[in-house]
Amino acid sequence: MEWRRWRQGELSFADEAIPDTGFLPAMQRRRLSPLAKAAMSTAHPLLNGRDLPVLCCSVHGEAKRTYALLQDVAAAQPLSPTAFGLSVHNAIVGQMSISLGIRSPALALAGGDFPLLSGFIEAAAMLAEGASEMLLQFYEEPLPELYLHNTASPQRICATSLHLQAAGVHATSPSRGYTARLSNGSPAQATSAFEQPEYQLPLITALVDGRGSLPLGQGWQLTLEKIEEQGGGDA
Amino acid sequence: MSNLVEELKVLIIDVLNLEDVTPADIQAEEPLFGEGLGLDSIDALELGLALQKKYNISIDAENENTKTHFASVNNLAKFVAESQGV
Repeated sequence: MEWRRWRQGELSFADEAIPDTGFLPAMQRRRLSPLAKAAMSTAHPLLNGRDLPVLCCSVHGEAKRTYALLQDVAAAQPLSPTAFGLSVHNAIVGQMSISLGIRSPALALAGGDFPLLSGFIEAAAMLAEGASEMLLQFYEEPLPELYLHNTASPQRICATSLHLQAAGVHATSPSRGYTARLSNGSPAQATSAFEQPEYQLPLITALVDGRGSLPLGQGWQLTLEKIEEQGGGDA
Repeated sequence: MSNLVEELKVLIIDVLNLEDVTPADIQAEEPLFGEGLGLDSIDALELGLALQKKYNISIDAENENTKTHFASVNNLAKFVAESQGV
């Protein structure tokens, strides 16, 4: 509902909002970066205790943690074993699988210049290969200043989770949520999703509006349409 | 020694990011790993590094005594005090 108010211009982003991960025991929470907390707090309500395949897309992942390690390397300081272990690209999905009890496949993707494209194509492939439902996530955090001269960075942490179901595998059609269709041949061409560093916002806009087509890059687009009925939605 | 015990409790909370834990919550004689405080092997490495940085102690992971030194805050305090020649 807050996203609806954001869409209407009534709400803007709070800079210091810390996502609530109170559903995790303190001993598991303590190693989570703000980015990991954001990712997990969006995944948790959608998974709702279920063990689903998870696909996590983030171009830069835990860039701040990696940068801090590199600074230690440059200063010839010993490295923090915790930071080292959690700096790999699949650290967040790994922590999520432990904390939320996921035994299904859990995959981390970077996605290059087109994270939305990579994420949705990979998700479509997973659903086509037999997963009947899954969780798809996108998350990014602001990059350390050093990197800003050759790449754009979001201004703040963004995390989006989507619960996806394969079309036609369920006995009854879902009575809420959205239909999502991938198609090729979109005229809109961007050289990088990072032309808009907050690349998740057009996706959220389409979800809030109940319909929309968004270019994913390289001629692909995603068309979303809300399933009429009770409302709600899975995003 | 009791100063060192308190100092180590604060160090443990800081370097291991123990949210919601205060020094008073850590019993100096209770196990740090497994039961008790419930720390794990990554914590052991992190704590070893912190001791190395703060007290300039080198820790030998192969040494059987290391396990005893890390068993509780009291043992750690003894170990730190001894290695500093106090």
